[in-house]
Amino acid sequence: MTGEKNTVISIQNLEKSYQNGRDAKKVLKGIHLDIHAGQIIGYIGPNGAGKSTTVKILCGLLSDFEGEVQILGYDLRTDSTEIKKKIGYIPENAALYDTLTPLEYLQFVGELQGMNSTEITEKVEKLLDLFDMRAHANERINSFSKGMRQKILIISGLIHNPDIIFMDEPLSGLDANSVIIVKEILTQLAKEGKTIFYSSHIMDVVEKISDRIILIDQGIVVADGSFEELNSKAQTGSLESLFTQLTGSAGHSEKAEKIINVFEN
Amino acid sequence: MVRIILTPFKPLIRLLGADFNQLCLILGIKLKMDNRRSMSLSHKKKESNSQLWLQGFIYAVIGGFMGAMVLIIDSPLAGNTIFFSFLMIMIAMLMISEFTNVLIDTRDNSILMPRPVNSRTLTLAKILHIAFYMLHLSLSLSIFHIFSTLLSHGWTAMFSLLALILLTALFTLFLTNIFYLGLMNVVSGQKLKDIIVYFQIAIAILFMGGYQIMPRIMETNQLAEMTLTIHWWSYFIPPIWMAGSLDAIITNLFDSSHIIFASLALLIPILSLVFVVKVLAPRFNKALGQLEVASTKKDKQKRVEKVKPKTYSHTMSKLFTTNKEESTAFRMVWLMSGRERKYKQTVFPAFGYIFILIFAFAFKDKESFDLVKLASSKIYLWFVYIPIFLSFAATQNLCYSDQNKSSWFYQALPLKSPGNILLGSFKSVMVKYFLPAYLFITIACTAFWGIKVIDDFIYGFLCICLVSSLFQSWQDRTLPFSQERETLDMGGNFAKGMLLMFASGIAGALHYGLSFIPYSTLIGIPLFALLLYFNFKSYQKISWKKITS
Repeated sequence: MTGEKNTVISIQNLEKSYQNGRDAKKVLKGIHLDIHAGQIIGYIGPNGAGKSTTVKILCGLLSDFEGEVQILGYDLRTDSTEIKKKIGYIPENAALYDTLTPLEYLQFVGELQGMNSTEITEKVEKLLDLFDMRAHANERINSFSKGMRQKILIISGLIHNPDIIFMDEPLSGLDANSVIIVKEILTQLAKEGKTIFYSSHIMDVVEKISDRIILIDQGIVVADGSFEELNSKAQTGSLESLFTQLTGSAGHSEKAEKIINVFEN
Repeated sequence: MVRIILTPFKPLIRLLGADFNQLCLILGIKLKMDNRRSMSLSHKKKESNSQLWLQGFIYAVIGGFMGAMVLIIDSPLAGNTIFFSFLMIMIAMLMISEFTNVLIDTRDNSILMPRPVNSRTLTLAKILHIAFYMLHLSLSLSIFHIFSTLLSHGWTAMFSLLALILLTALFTLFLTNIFYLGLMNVVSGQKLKDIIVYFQIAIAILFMGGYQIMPRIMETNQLAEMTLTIHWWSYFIPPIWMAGSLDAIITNLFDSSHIIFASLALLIPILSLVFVVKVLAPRFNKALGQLEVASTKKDKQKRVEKVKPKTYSHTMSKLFTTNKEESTAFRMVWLMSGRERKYKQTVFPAFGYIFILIFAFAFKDKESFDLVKLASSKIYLWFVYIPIFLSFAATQNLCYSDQNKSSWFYQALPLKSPGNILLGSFKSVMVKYFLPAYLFITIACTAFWGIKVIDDFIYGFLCICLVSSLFQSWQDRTLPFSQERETLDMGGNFAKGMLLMFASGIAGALHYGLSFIPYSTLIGIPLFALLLYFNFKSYQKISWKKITS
């Protein structure tokens, strides 16, 4: 599993709709993607574009989708348990069993991944130490701040040394030092041949760390390629302005002016 | 612990396609969390590791009361019917009020689903978790009755009782399942939580009511001779099936009706279980999966919300407040208090309590109960002061909120003094909650005792307003919805409660004394109105320094 162009995720015509009362709402309208090992994928798009839905499907949280998905050579529909052994998921809204302590929670999660308990204990203690969380190892999570919870989520997603890591806004709430560390971790993991699927709204970060950027809007892929490639086509200079151009919401400064007018009068 | 209990079933669990190790892990962690979760009725959130034992103990005590009452009844059929009705109601209510968060844990979606756990393990873990709860609940509620049955009717009766209790639990599970499914089809996740609050309120009133009314029922002589005649419709009432089957075993009587009861008691719960597993559970899980999505997703349809014209709260705020800040606070609290879950949870039961207390006082001594005597008594003075519990609950709980952090804006706003906000919110809850209940009682009492009591009620109203507002201004001043419940000290609360009892006792005694002096209340009314006015004035002048945040 070195930097070869071997496909780890292959998505064919992925569609997904939610049933909301009587009317169905289509969130994903046919996504085609091939993702290779050792890359950091920046997955971006406006609110409601279907980013989180894609990530949830790939992690096996939503099982009723249409289309074909293969991860690490396994079919997502039939072998999701095998796939889940080799992927890590760091979700957006920090869902944790918060009456537990970090030690208890991480032990639980690690054992579910099939690790043996002494190995987990060693790893967890080291990791908590490295993330400056050692002092809180035996406190209940419900007293933690957002950044502390995010650290626990990051550890819990990486604890079993997964081959593919799915992240949904992983840096939210972290302080500047932790952000730098996590970004560095991601880059080094990618060098080792791990694949990182990174979904975020912070364009600067995506621009800097991603090898490949995928922009989706209203359930379809509207741009796909490295930042240089995308930029050479559109000549916009930054990912932020590229994003604006492609998701079709121009005229921001006029809008800002109108807003200010309302405030001032 | 879980592992030891489940080890004998290891081959069976493997056969069902679940992973034994993961199953034990999930169940173990779930029970660990349950042990740390506090009951919805208790307010303190101390770190505790033995909540399940504590809950079991509380249920056993409640069940003990019920069991003692059943003991008095001679007829086993009647007694057991009451017992099984109690058991079914309690299980259903407690399932809904206490365990909804356990059953509908949307965190599972993002914590367990991405892990390599197969769906059979997850399903089995969920079933076993629910089974554990049902056992814990039904056994702790009926432990007293089980022992008393053993002592009075022997082992066979006791074991059949145990079996019947389990069948009852199964059948109740089926009913609550239907309830949830029906509810989830019509409302979203947040709404569901709101509706569940009403069940918690109902439970609180039920406990209080039972505590007040049960001893009264027990004292009556008819209870011992109570019997149950079987009509055609008796065959449709589940507790009678259970009681009938037990009756057959105790009295050794197997006539046609008893056999029908026994077969219903055995068949229906088992059929309902099959129905739950085959039909309801899959739908339930699907609805559960949608719950999170549906509640987080915004409605894409753009609806232009019309700005509502002046509402009831506007009119009320015009009537009762004197300046703009006060009326803004009045209307904000008016809206918030109807939506804040924690507030509803503590205040709404007070409505139930006061009517239970009134009922309890009106029918205090059964023998001497006659309307003529009641009409000539001064018992209505009790009714004047009982609503003080409501005014107290409404004003004292105003500072608590689930999202107390969102009260940052008070400090951020350029307000000279917080007095107007405090006074506005005080008036708001008094007008919204206390006034209607008090008016209702006043009208009911005037209808019964005649127009002559109306001055007593006006006097009492002013008196209660004065006492409540004095309480508000004496204690630590807090802004509405700005405190977290967990820092509540029970000692201080107890002292407050005693002080309240004392104050209302003095007020009531004074009122009773005045009722012997003609026209005294008519003099008291303007006096109290003046005092109230001055107290409001001083309340308005509270400075920022005196606010505890």
